[in-house]
Amino acid sequence: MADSVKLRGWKFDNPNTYGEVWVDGTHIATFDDATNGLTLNTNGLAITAGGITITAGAMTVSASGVATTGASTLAKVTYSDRLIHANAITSAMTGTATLDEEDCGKIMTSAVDSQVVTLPATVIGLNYTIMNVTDGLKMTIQPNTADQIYMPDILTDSDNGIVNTAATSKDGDLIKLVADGSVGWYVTELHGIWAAESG
Amino acid sequence: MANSPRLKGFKWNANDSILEVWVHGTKVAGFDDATNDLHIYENGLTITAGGLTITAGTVTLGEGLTVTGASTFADGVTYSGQLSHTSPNSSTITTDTDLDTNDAGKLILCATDSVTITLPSTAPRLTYTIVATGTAGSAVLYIDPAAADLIRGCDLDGGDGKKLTNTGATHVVGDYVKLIGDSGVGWYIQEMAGTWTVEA
Repeated sequence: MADSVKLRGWKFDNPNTYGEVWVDGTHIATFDDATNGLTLNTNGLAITAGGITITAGAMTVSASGVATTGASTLAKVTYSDRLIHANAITSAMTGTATLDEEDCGKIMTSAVDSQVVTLPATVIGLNYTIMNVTDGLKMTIQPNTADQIYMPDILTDSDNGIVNTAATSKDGDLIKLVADGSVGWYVTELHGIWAAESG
Repeated sequence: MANSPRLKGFKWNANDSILEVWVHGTKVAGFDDATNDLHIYENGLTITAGGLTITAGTVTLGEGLTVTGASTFADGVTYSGQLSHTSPNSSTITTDTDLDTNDAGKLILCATDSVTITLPSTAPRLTYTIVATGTAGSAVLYIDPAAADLIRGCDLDGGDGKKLTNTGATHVVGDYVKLIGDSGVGWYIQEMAGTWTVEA
């Protein structure tokens, strides 16, 4: 017998061993005997008091993420892709870019393959944040002729750049540099796989 | 007929078209025919095994999220307001204040309107992080370099002695700026969020 279009209440689905909740002919929730899980079939969960407490198992969100309007406290956070303030000052580079003093403090982004970012001559305090925002694109950071870049476990030769290689680059790969005013640039933060340019 | 104070089980609320779950006279949950949402009315939702998996829709929380375990965000994190450790080395400023070299590395927090934070003369690699935490849409914060110093970056290029201002009308709690001293000209912006202007 077909379910009534007006079915309201509890129904046991014997073949599947589900306890089902129906509202006006719509099957909106399932208690699964096999997994003991609760599945909401048609819409979401609205909690108007008390919040959610999870004492075992993680909360996994595979669709649109988490949005909060209050302050959050997170014990430890690991992220891939980008960590960015909603009101950060960003600037999209669309080809070879030569940075200047007024680019300090911005997040310089690129979604262009073979992006070359040319740094000015080192001056104490000059600093840049450069981010690749698309998977699989090559980006090269090129210092001035006389300058070097100190990056983790690598010191480039003068005039040699560092490369975020296309084969391994990811959206959110990032480099932060600060100038020493003498030898060149120190990397202060690095995400992703970068290598010194050869030659 | 009034609901029994001992009502237990499902009850169809014809007025609101909600299939309600009652426990000992308390309405604890409802399945809404209009939205198909499950509403939890009392005491929240406690999950003691298996966690919570959401495969469609955003999780929207009217309050904050408190997590005691480690969290992994696979597709990046965008935040507004402040991003800070629960135990930052910070100082809260409530009146006009001159910073000194011992303030480097702190979070300088200011929630008071129209406060001026005065920077010392620039020195190489001297660094300050200043966060505006005053009332959104109204609190104004000024950062005043020494007379011979200027502030540059984020398309701003102030003249010597010109203030950097987090303007009230556009102020959002958590707007911030990080500054680093140079070799004698002034300050470079390292990071910035929010709307800031330099004095003309």
